[in-house]
Amino acid sequence: MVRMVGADEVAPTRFAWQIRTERLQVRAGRRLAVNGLTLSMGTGVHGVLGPNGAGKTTLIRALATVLRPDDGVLELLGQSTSVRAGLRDLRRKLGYLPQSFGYYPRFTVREFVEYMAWLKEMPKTDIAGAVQQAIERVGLANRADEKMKTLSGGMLRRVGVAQAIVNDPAVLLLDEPTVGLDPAQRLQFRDLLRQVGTDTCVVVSTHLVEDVAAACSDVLLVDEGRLVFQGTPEQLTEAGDDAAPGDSPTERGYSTLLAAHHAQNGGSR
Amino acid sequence: MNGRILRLELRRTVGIGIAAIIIVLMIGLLYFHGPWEQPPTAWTDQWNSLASWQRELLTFLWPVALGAGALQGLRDSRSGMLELLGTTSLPTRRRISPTTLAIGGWLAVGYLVVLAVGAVQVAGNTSYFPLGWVPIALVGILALIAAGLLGMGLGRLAPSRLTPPLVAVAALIAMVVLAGISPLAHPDGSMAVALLAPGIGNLLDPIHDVFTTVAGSVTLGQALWFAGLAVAGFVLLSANRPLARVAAAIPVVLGLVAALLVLPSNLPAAYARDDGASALVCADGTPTVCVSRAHENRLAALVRPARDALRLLSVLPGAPTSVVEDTRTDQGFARQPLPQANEVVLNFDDEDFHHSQPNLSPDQLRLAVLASAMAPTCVDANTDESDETTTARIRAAQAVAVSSLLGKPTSLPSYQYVQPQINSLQQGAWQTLRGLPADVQRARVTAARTAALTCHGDLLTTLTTGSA
Repeated sequence: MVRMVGADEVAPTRFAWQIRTERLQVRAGRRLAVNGLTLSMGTGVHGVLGPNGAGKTTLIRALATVLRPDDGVLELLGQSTSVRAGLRDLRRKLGYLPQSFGYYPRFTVREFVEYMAWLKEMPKTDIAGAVQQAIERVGLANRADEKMKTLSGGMLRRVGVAQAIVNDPAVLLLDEPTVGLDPAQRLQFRDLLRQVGTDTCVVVSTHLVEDVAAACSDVLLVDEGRLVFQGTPEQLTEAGDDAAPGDSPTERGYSTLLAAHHAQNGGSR
Repeated sequence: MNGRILRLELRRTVGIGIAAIIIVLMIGLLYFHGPWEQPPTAWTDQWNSLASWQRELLTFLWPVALGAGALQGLRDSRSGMLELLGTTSLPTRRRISPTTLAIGGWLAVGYLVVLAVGAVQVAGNTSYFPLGWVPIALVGILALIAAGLLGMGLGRLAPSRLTPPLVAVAALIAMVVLAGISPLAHPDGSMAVALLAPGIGNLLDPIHDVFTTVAGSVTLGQALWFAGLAVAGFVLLSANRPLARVAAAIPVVLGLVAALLVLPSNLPAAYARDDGASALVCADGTPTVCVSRAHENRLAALVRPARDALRLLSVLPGAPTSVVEDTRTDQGFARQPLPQANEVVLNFDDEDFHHSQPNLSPDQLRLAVLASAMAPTCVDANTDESDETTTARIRAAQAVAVSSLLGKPTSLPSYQYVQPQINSLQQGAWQTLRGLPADVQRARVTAARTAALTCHGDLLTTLTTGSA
């Protein structure tokens, strides 16, 4: 596909990290679900791991500009999200799959992805091609003209990924993207992640440690709203204690790091 | 505005369904028994009647449109899309534009389809084509669109499954309340508030004749009010903060105040004489035969029977020399003066014209003109309609006078429930009159006609005894 490349696309980036937070605090209701988180993420696939309630979803929602930080710094693409003036421009470059992905049941897959592309203010001439490509990348080309209400849970999740990647985002945020996918679809999805991650900052929140090990270039372990660990999947594996619970070296790494964090905090969990 | 997204919303919103409901319900009501089928102001008879009866039906359909709009307004929250939508860059106002256009467009389509169904019939029933009905219809479309937008705004404001039925029922109750405070129930009260309903009041006080139309102030005031509601709906839809939602009250208040300033406060002022419809159109030649422009298509059939009737009447002293349609109206206006002795005044709504039935035969038309000449319209104006005896006596006198002119016993079109009484009165009087010499008969018929023109005395007594 031949398309015009705008000046802003070839302009050199003016930031070191696509995502940067410093002592970030975000509330989920009354609770400080993200509590003093400092991290940096660049191009690549970043897997966010952590137990339930660790603050993964709250972090992703803050990154998606749904929630406003209570305190600290949150910069996306070198720009603070608390400056409302730049928010519209920033949101054009975001892709987001919420944990509970809502959709218009009467729309077809293609209509829905096209609608989202329009909401992200893609150039009119690019939309049709980008929609088709996004649908193909999630393997739904043969269901593109079916209504959303006829799709299974796994298919809906893939539509959610398609709408998130349709605008070729600079920051792609996926909250539990593999829920409902069968093993073959999960393998396919890992390929997609690796592809997208070559030129995009992808943040994937998940419970599934093996997804992270297989598809991510970077792992973040979050607990009680704080960053416990950031490193490569290999480093996560190496951190593992053979006695720790887990069926794989990665899982043992995960358990070991979490246990250590709990111990450090006086076993508060 | 993105054309593809608009087409998408035209297909996927509730709009297409609500258009279908409007068409089915309105057409169903119009073909079901109702005041809108009464000539001469039946919905298929005249353009003004079509436009105002369709407006009247909004009493039932405005709440439906409001509820449907609310259903559409629930879409984002019911589908769980709010979070995702909140992270997209397109401003809310632009995001909702295709949706509101789609809903508004479908509501207009529904209204226009019903209008077209009526228009095809009206076009066949009258040759009079005024433009005064267009604003009446446009305000109807505006009112319906306002209901849709306001409903959407309310649905977004209160995203509960109960919102659509609740707002629809509340609107229906409001219609009943507004009708209840109309001046027909309280003659001294102000009419203006009642006119905030999308109807005009026809259901309570139907426009009786084709020479009356809705006053321009009613149309303007209602347009301002519904424009305010439509803007309020749009503000509710596009507002993202509580304060911005409160701002939706501003167009409502502005529209309300502007409307109340413009809307007439009493019943007569709500109606206007339709000068175009009541202007007279006369046939070529003499004697003069004229009908209103609204009934121009009846003139050709009327001319010859009317002139025959004038020739028969010419034997009377001071005989009328012209036939003219009665364009007086009692719709909130002072009655115009009684007709002059030198003209026969016709009212196509009379029994004589079989209540405005089309296609009467020349004989029926001649009889109708003769009957009209013998007893002008005192009955409706000065007689208590429940006074059956008076009604029957006048009608019988009319028939006897016509019989005398024709030289044979003649029955006039039926007065339904009083007809047996009329028949016996007519027979007795005719037996008395027919035995008299022709010049005495003429003198009595002339005296009866004079009495009728001034609405004095008992016509039947005059005919049978020669004195009132």
